[in-house]
Amino acid sequence: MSETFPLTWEEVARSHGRKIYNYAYRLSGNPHDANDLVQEVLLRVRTGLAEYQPGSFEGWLWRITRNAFLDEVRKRRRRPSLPFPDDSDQVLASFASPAPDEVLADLRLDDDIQKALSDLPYEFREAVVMCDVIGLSYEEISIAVAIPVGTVRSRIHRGRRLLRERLT
Amino acid sequence: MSSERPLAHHLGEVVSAYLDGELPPLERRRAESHLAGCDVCRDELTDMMFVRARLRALPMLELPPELTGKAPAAAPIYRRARVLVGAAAAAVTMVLALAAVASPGGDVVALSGNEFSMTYRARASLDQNQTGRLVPLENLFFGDIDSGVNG
Repeated sequence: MSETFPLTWEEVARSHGRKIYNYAYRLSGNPHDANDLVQEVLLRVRTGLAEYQPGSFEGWLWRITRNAFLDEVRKRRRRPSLPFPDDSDQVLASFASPAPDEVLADLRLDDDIQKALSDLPYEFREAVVMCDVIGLSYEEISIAVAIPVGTVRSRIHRGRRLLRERLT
Repeated sequence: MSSERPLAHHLGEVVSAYLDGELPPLERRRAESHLAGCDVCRDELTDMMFVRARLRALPMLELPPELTGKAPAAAPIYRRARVLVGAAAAAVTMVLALAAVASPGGDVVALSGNEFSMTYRARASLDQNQTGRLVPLENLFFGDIDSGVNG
């Protein structure tokens, strides 16, 4: 997005709220986790924007998002290791009320790739979702995850390779 | 020695970086030279393209209504009324819109989230009779942030 600042957190919510929700949903496979994550991230953005230094806004925002996601997961699961258990039936049931029919149909069609994502080791899943679902550059992912660009490249490729083997 | 000579070994993760447009020009040309003569790496590229296309085809889900229907409770809302909307009041409930209520003279009213909700409903019904003015602004809020975190 453009680097015109100061941004308000409402503007961030408007421009990125949906992406943040999808990030959390694809990582967790769980709409409730995704809901909580969006609210937590926007809270952190509201308090953090005052200290934002112009630079990579995407890297900054996704670092907040990534850390908030991990904190939420740790808080909920009481254990730092991922991935989540697969409970896609429950996910669909819990999502059924607010979701339009066509979205549900999409979810079912994409069940295999969502399941394959959920089976990935967390580091690879995170990198692949940031790259291929959210559309971040390697450099932005590098900032968000605080790892070298070469590691980003490696994780994306290994994540995709594992997905390929599961999507036969 | 040509700087664009094909790489002697397989590309490995360079395939993904190539696909993503993340290689600098020299590396990119080297990768292309290698791909031209290496079935293994072309197959790898095809696999990566397949996976990436599947991921990119995932639908970008809409925010659920519970995240989009409310204004935040804690932060007072100070906004200048810009446009007066009468008939559109009913449509406002569906969008991520924050509304402010302006007095006839255009004074700005600060509302908490709860006040907002109540006033919003009152004004929305008043508006049917053109007595109140409901002004949707461009600002968007996503849920009751503070109670969501504390509660």
